[in-house]
Amino acid sequence: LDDKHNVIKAKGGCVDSFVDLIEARKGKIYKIAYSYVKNQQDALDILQDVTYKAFISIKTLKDSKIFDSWLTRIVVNCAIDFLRKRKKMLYVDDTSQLIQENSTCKSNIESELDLYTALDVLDEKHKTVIILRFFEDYTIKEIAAILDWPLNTVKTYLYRALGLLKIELKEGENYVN
Amino acid sequence: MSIENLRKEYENIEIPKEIDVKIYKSIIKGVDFMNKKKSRRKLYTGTVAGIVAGICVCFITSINMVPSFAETMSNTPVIGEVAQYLTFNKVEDEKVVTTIFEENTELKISYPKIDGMKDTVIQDKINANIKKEILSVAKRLAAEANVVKSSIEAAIGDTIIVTYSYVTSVNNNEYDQSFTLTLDKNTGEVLTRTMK
Repeated sequence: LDDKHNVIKAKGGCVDSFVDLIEARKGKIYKIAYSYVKNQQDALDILQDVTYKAFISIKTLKDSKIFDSWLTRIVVNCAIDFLRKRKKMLYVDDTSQLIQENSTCKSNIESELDLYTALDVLDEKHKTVIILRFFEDYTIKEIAAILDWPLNTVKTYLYRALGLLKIELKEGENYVN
Repeated sequence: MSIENLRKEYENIEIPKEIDVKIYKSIIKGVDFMNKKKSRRKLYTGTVAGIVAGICVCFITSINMVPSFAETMSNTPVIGEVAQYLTFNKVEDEKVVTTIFEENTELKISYPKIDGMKDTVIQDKINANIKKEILSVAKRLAAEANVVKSSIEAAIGDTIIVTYSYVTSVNNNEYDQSFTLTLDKNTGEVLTRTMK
């Protein structure tokens, strides 16, 4: 109820209401972003980008009820954009990028292990479906709306992602054992 | 390893303390952007309004100051109708001036007559004054020399200006004499009479 009120006020340009909305969802935004980029600094950059983009375009949100899926869509798009930009940078500046990646990997290595290795085998689209379905508990219907995909496409991606994950996880387990 | 384990890890992702600072920063950036956008829009509409106003002023003044421009404009389809409303001295009055009456005395004399004014009393007074002035000059000239030709032009503004000229011949030499008469449009009184 409070959210609905805040969305309407934020659409009218109320900064406080917008801050309330983002504050309530900051953990969700950060976690989704983190699942893509797997390091704190980049996830925070994405969060900053998402907040900015949502703030300047909330006026264009037609239906106040869909604020959450609208925001999720921005998060997913920003994260994927970020990954694409980083890929391009890799080609430009190979060695320095490698050193950077190594250092961030080391610093986070304990907490990240399984989530990292597991999700890493998936490309952006499969990753997105897994994050939204299993981590953020969206229904397949809601995911279809967020990504603007047909329902069956979401299902296909989800099953394929699960298949890929199981295979990878088993191999991982074998390796550990 | 199952999806549940992955989910637990996801739940346990640590949220850094800087997160609020980041949110705060991007909102400041957003507010900045919106303000700039607004002021830019204001600046833009201001300039456009200024240019449009300038063009209008130019148009209105040239219509009223340059008769040939006004005439050209009145012949153009859409602008002509607009121009009519923007002209302070209505076309109606100017047309009237061209009606010229001829009086058969010893001389053939033409004089202009004004028509279409709201105040008919003043109008009659103006017409009578114009006629009186022109005839008196003509009579005076007729006593001195042979009047060959006469022509009359008139224009209307706040004051009515009538110029008329006679060609007189003395000893087979032709002389051109012009007179200008001004009348007050509001009272009908003769203001000045000059001879060139």
